[in-house]
Amino acid sequence: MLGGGARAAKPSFVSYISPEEIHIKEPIEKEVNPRLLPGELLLCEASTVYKYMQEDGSNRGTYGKLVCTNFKISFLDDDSASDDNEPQFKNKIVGENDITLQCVDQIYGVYDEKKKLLTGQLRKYPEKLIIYCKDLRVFNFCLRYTKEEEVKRIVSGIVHHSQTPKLLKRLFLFSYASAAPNNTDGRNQTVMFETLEDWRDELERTKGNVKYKAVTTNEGYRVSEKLPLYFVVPLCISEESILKYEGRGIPIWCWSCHNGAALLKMSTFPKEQDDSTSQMQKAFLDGIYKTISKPPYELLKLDDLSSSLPSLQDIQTAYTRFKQLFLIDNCTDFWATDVKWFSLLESTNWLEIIRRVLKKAIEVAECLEIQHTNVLLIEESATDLCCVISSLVQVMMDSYSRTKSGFQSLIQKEWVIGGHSFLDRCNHLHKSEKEEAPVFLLLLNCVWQLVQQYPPAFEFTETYLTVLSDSLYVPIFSTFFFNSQHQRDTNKSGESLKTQSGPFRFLTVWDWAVQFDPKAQAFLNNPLYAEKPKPDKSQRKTARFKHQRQLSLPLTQAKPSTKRGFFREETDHLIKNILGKRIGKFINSSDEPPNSLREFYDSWHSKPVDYHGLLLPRIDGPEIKVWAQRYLRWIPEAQLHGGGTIATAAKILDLMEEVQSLQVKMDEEHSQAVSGDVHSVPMLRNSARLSSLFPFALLQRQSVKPALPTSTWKDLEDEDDLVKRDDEFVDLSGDML
Amino acid sequence: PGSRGLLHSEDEVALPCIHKLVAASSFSKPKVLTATSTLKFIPEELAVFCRDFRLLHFYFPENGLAPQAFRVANAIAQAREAAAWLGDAAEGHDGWSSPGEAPPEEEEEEQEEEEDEEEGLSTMLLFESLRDWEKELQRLGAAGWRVSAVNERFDMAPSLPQYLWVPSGLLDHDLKRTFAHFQERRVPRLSWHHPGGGDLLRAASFHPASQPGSEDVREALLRSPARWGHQDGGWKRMEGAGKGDTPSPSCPPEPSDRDLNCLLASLVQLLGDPHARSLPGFQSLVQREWVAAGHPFPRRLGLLRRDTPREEAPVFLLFLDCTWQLLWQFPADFGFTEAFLLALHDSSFSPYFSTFRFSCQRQRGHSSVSQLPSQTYRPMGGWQDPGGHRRGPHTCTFPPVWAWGRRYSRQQQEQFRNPVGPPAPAESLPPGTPGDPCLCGGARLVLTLAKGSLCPHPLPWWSRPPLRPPHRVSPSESQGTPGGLLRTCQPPLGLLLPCTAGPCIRLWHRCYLRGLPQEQQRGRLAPSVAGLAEELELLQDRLRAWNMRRPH
Repeated sequence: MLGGGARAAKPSFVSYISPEEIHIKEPIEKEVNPRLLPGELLLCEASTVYKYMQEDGSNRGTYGKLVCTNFKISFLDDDSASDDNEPQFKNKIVGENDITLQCVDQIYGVYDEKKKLLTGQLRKYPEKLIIYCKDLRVFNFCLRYTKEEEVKRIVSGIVHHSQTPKLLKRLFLFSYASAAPNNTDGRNQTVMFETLEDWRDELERTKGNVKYKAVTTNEGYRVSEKLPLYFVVPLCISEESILKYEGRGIPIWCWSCHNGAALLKMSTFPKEQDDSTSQMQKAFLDGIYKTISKPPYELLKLDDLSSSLPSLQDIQTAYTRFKQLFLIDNCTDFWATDVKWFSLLESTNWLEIIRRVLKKAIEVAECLEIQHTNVLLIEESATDLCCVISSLVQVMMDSYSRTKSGFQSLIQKEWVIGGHSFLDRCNHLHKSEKEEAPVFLLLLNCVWQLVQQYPPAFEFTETYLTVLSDSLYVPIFSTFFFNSQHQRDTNKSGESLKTQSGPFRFLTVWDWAVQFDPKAQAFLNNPLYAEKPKPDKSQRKTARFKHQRQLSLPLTQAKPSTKRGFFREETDHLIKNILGKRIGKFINSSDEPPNSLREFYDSWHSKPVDYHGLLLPRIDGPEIKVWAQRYLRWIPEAQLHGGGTIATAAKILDLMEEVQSLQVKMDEEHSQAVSGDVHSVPMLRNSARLSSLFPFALLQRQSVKPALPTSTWKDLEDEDDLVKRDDEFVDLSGDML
Repeated sequence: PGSRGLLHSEDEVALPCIHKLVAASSFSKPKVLTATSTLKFIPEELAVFCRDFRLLHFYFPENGLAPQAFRVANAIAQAREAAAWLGDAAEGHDGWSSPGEAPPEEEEEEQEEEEDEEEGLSTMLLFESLRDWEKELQRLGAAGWRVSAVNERFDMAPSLPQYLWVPSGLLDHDLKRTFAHFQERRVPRLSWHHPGGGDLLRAASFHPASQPGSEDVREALLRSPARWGHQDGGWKRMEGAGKGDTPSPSCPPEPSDRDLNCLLASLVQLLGDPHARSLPGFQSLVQREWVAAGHPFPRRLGLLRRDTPREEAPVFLLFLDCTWQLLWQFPADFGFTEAFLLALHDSSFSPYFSTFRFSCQRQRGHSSVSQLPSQTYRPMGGWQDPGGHRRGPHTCTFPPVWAWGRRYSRQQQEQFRNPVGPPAPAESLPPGTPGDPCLCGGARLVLTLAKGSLCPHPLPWWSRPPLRPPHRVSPSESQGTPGGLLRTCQPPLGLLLPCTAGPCIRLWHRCYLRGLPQEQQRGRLAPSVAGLAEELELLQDRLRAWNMRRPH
């Protein structure tokens, strides 16, 4: 059983030291106090809590204090003062032993070796607490040595504050915003899409302003509370028609392709009982379709996502199963499930969902790019799968969306302002599990596939995506804690006027300095990003690119020479033989895309990649991978010391640094005055061996394979053989492994 | 300008490399063609499935070429069968024949005579001469072992190499008596020496008729070097090996010592010996543990005729895959690239290389000498030149696969080198770092790999009571205790500890998925940092040049 490792029946690891023994070296009673953020209140605490190093299944661990505040659950190590090996990559807000209340996924109590899910009221208090986090960490706390009173308070406190329904106003976001000094610097380069100006700029950037306009119809939220204050519609749409059905049935502009074709989205009408109403709605829709299919508009292609993609329910189910693979109690569990890893992974269906979404995005890209048709995505609210597909299409087709600020602006445009219900989908308030669905995570997973397939095309790294996904659960940023712009605006000013001098000033997650110091922020930038050789003229505010160093990477210049060469000519020939002929007869063709799509896909992949142009993900089965950094980072069994892609990356960085310093030297020689503005590429240097899960895995984490053979080993030997050797040589085999 | 070797383009396939031939037409079901079951309809399409996972697909347009299509298809089927050679140790000639009837697309080219000395060959050891064995033994710093020429004429053990590493205390006279006790007369011998002092041995299991307790054998093993210090071992599921600090040589016996022992012995060395991870080092490793050790390549790769008993098992290909997993997990620790592994993979089906054509060194040697007096089996004489006409008096030998110039251009060979991978401080493993004093000389623990796990007390003739392995130290003492390497955070330098958990094992898609068009379009290679390194060099040159010109 995954994640449900209740059977501790046969200890597979003999510890020669019990927790009690460790305790003998009585900690010097020094007051360890939690570091509190502005507005953070200590709610309850318990001392002498024993935290297991959950990985090795032994009883090793540390004593400390467990506290619960209105922001987080935190374990304070008694020996934490001697923390001299600070990790290079550290979150300033959420520490290694901190769990924000929103990050708690499930809490289990262990009663007499039995695991029970804890929700709401408790009658009995457990001796062990297991906390599963949404960022896939697992914490094991032993409460046996804690005073009974404290146990009661801490357990009920934690369960109450993290698992029971909450009012929006009780979110830590508000206490923080009112207490924290506001020092957001305005130098953020992300376009927030809160003003009409931003939308007009975006129209201009994509040259969509010929046929589309930004409208102010929704000022004061006259049209709908779900729609943003400003949005963009085709020029020919009148204000009346927008107002008629609260914005439903109106095509809303997402993005324009270089050839003029646009990506639009539309929310559908709710199902009507009344025949005449639905007749009217139908007529209204027909009218709309007619006006926007006429020239100057391109042909219109409708795509009802609710029928062509898996439902939110399916996505939620798949993800729930998928994450269980990584929420592992201890290493015995890990090795027990490891035997079936591939079939378990297959059965979650999560990778298949990613594949289908990517495929849909390719389909849309083909319509825009090749067929020059407008694509209208249709969904009931147009704020879930519409966001996924439209963002993906833009990441694939618009190289600006692959820069960091571009990607952030995209999230802002399609998701935050676009009205994705983060609050409901993440179930931050524990209102209803039915609404929960990892839609945004699905997008990040899809983007990750692209990032790992074409690393030089992205200005950000997979680490960026990982910390972005973690930020979903950090309630000091407003970004992911509202359902719509309207909800945010009303709560921002609203009643707070009574107590506050002014409206709340929320932080945005895009201000990465809040979470990471500059050194750690360097991990978010891809040093191998193949920048555009010359800044595009149509690019707004060239200042945006100022901070980027122009690296001379071979990737940017030498095109075919590097890609071609080895085997290349030969394969080209072969492709000619294979392509287009009726190969389907021989190769399993069960899930081939339709023909024109297939052709588009194949022909794109037969050309060398232009990192600044259209980017199509490869979607054949083996290409869709598990996002190892996010999902495996807390599992030491899956980490490689001194291995993984980071090993090559470190080498490349060294080389690049050398190239840079040489270039500087040459520049200096040539022209006398050159700014010495070369800051060295981040750390990585001098670090002898990095883990493959860098920068997350901590080196002090250790892991041991179970001494007793688990099932893999059993397969290899006879059962009785094992029994015979059991007593005598068990220790040895443990030693050897 | 690409390859100028034996096969001129990717459209050509060596006949033994054809795995399956399928013909199809719109009127009937696709049909698998073999020499005996021939075509009964006019094919419209012909698909050639290759062992190297390529798929050649031909389409015959309906413009009167139908009879030719029919003939070509049948001809390929026949030629392929004819190309498979007869049993390797079987009577008479091997069945290699020139594929004259092959269709134009498949035509074999005449071998070019190339006299370019292979740089790879010069730095690697082929283990065909006494010097090579001595040189390598010296590199390993295995004191207490010597090279024995007892099998120089292959009369002791036909499948073993001419030279063996045996304990220096053991005289050839005594050694000779041990051969009979092991299957195929493959005695225990040194395979690798860990700088820490442990030894890796390999041997076949006992001959059914032998008396394990007999004095001969006991003698032989007791004379082994006194310094059986630190040990190396600990096999993990697929490819793991960790080195504990327990002293004992380990010695994996499998019945024949010709398959899995090759695999495991070479994997351990890949993990433990940085030299084995350099390009020449890897080639030497394959040469020693597979080629010289007598892995029956023709049988295992299925290159023999269909009617011979099938003993196909991709042991060597499994090794390549394991190596790829390691390469993938530790890209910065290898001196060679995926391209190199692919080239090796593909070459194993090519009939031109001595490396994969023979089952042991003895056969390989015979093939170059035209005739040999009297033996229980006859040499592989009688084969024909690929081109039919070639260097007259000089007896023809097949080149070893390491003569990459035969098949790959210099440019392509450049791709075999990993610019990232540091072939490490290759040559110098510190010879015999003093082991743990209390263990040295005292305990001589021998571990045997049986049924997938190491266990002590393996040898029935071992007279003393089984040694209890040192007790596990409590985990809190942590670092460096026999808890195994996996728990110390920084494994000793030079040692790779691969992750064998499910999420870390990958599909070698550039190898196995080559048949998919998308895969081919992507190119066979991962982009490398070679370009970056090149640019660096260029810049440095320019800077140097500029400095020279500058007046001082």
